[in-house]
Amino acid sequence: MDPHERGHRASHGNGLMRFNVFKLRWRALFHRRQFEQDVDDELAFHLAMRREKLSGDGMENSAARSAAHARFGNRARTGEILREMRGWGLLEPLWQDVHFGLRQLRLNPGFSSAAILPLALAIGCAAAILTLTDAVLFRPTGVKDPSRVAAVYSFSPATNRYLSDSYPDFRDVHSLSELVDSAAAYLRTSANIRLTTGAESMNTELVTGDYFRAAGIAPTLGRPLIPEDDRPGAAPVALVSYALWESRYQSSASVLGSVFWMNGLSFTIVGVMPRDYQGMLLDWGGAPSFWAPLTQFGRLFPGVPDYQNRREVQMLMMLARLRPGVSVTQLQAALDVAASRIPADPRSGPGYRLLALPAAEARFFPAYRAATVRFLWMLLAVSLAAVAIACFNLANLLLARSAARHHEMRTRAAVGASRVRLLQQLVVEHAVLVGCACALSVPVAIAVTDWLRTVQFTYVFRPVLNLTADWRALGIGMAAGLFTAVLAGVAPAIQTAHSGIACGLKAGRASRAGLRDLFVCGQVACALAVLVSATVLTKTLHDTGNARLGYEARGVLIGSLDVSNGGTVSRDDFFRLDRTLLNEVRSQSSGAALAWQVLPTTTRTTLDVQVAPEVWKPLPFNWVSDGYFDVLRIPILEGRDILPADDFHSQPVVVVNRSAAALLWPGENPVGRHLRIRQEQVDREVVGLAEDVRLHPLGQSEPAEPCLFLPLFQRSAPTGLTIHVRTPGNPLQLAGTLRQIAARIAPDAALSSVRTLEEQVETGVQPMRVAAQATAAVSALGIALALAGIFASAAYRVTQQKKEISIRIAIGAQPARVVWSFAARGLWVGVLGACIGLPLALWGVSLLRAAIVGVGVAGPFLLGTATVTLVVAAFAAAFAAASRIARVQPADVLRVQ
Amino acid sequence: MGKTKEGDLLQGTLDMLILKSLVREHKHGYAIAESIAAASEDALRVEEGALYPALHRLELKGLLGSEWGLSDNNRRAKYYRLTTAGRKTLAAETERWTRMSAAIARVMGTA
Repeated sequence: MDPHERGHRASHGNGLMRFNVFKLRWRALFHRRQFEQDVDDELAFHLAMRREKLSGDGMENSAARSAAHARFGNRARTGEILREMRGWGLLEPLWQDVHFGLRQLRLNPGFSSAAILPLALAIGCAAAILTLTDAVLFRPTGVKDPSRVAAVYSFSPATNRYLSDSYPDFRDVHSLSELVDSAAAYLRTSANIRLTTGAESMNTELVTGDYFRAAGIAPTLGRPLIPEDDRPGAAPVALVSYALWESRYQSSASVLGSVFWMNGLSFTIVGVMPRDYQGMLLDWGGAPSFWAPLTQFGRLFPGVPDYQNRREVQMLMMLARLRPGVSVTQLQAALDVAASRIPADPRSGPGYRLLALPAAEARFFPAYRAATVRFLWMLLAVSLAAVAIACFNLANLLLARSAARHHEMRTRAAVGASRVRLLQQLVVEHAVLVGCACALSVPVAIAVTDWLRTVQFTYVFRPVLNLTADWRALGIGMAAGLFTAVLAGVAPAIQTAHSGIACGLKAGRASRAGLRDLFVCGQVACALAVLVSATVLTKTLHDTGNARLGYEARGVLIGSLDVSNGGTVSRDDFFRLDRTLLNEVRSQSSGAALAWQVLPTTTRTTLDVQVAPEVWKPLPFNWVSDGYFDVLRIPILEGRDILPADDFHSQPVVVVNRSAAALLWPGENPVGRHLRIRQEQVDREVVGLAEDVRLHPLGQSEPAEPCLFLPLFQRSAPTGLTIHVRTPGNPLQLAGTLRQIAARIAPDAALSSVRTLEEQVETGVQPMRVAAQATAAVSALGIALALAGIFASAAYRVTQQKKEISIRIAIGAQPARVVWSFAARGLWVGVLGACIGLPLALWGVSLLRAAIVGVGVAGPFLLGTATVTLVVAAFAAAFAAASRIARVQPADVLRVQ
Repeated sequence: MGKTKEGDLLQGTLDMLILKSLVREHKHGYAIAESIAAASEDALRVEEGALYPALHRLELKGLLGSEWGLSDNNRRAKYYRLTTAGRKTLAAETERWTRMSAAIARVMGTA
């Protein structure tokens, strides 16, 4: 080591010196011109002084200059050394390359936008979809320490269905105190809420005493619910959601102690929930506005059965906080043991048991989780495909441009640039390109995320609030984009740099024509695969989105209302009010009916139907009034409709749909048969057979599901209903009338969610439609880029043979003949590509069919059209490029060469 | 490797001569070259160009400061001066050099 330097270090330390070096280098970097000028001036000054000195000593001018230079040594080298000392080492050329890259982008705006925009769009979309996926599947729900929390569901292996739990189930779990720290059961229900004046329908979660302890939730304000609140006879108290506290109580602390009415029962607000907590389940209707003790359930809904002691009343969700060190598997084992100790479980079917799932898998009711996850993965796959396509496009463009840069590379190589240096420059240029795309993708991601927030995914998952552009997702998206894009740039960079080194300044590249043909061939093949698979997928999604519903949604207005006022109205009054309402509405419209559930529904409620002695089968059902089949235009195939006379005083009847009939009495006419529903004392007579309708939103189930239709007026418990009104014109014009009638007949009832049935159906279809649109957009982009790629590479292939074309024309060939010969070659290359691409396309479609249920096949028409399109594209590209060259005077081309 | 060591020695010496030449006044590169040549009676004459990397290195190390000024014949010239760090280093180096040359002189039997 330099002794001098050691001495210096001893006296001054490292930091100061480093800072000084940094400062001077920084100055040299940002005042580069000034610095270069200074170096020049300093050396020139020295030489000038020396020359003058020598001249003064009597030397002749020119001799003095030579002598001065000789004494000085290599001036250029010295200048170089000085510059390097202020330089940034390896960073220096990097800086130059970045500058150069930016200049290249500016000089070729067409190329730049074609390369950057698709990539920015693709990365932005992918980041937004990642944000959505993260928010739906992974972002914490607000439950503390979720790894210690298990969700418990009932599971019936016989039907392979998850079900809600009963209160006795909850007691069983609660009693496993050696494993379970705390257990809670809850249910979400819509209730008639009056804050001060006016009734509104809001969601409430009714929870058992340990709910807050089990979920680990600390209220923003006030106190949580405690077991004492859940004791029979306790004073009704509730916590209010943060959103409602903000919007209706102006975030005031005076909310504590204030009173509101739920189904006519007054509750005192004792606390405010945390801002980000919206319940454990993300897909159980809208977010709750209130949390109240489950013990009030009976007072809120007087008609409810004895849920506390009957195992077959399954309407609760359950969660259990495990003791430290206890695993979900251990809990499951204990649940199985406990179940075996209850011999008198009235639920039949072998293997029926409680199933504990980790909280992370319980963000959705397990039955719907698969559909949600599948939907998200599909969106994610589509967006990643977009990134891949954009990268492919980038690689294409770069390869095509490498043609234009042969000369530049050769010149650089000739003046001494090493291959590594050329490669570095190209890689940096490429990184600049991708960096610009990443920067542009940020606003895209934000915009798409904003848009996704407005899409109502109600029937796959409910809107996730607080969905903001997520920097982590954006980062991952960008990193993925950057990685693939840089990868995509390596081959073109090597190719370009190689062309600079391998060929002398004047060397032609005619020998590589075969390789270039192969490239065009590959392009056509890939494009064909993309075109065919994308079309098939888009068509599938489009068809699913427009699938037959089985009922006519157009022209129907619906509105939810609860004339029972939460069951506080007697059954006779309830029926009288409903009947009056129907009559009034019918007089103003072309038909009206009441139904318990509106189609399509996400809830899967079933009744157990006896199929053999002691064998029960759960079947979906609905309570409907007379006129229901008429309003929805559901055909009655056999027997009769439900009539106004089917009420409590008449014989219990039921209408079954085609699938239910096929299940219960295969190949027979069901009309006149009887069926026994568990919990009912007498059999019901089947009076009608209805056509199948789609009960659930698309993508969640088979189109045809069995269903029982029971007369509404034979129902024992009055509840909230949805009125369906058929109108000849625009249904929404009747909304005002409907509100007036409802307000007159049942002033205490809250008529809510007045909308058209088409809107309701639309929300169910929307996720599929979004997926279809996304796929269509990506496909269109992919096809456009693939076509552009074919054009670029075909044109590149021809441009490479510019010289050959020119020579042939120069020695007297007909330009038209030359052009045709090149175009014909393009045609053959296209046909060859199609031959490779067809099996590839069929393989792609078979992959899609394996991954996604219901994907159709690629028909001969589609395959034919796609093939012809792409072959014509290859031909046209070759033709266009060749005729463009042929138009130029051959001598000009040859001179340039 | 031998070559590098020789270079190091030469460089260290040149650095010291530069620092020494700036003790009294600030100078531009040409004047430094002239003063070294004069003081060493041309014994240590090197290629004059080699002076500038040494000057810039010392500047980067913070031993020299610099500013641009006008020379006697009205040309733009870069003037170097010793910084406090430079003075300290020079003192330390002078002492080290004196001790070392005395030791060498003793070994060579010239003292």
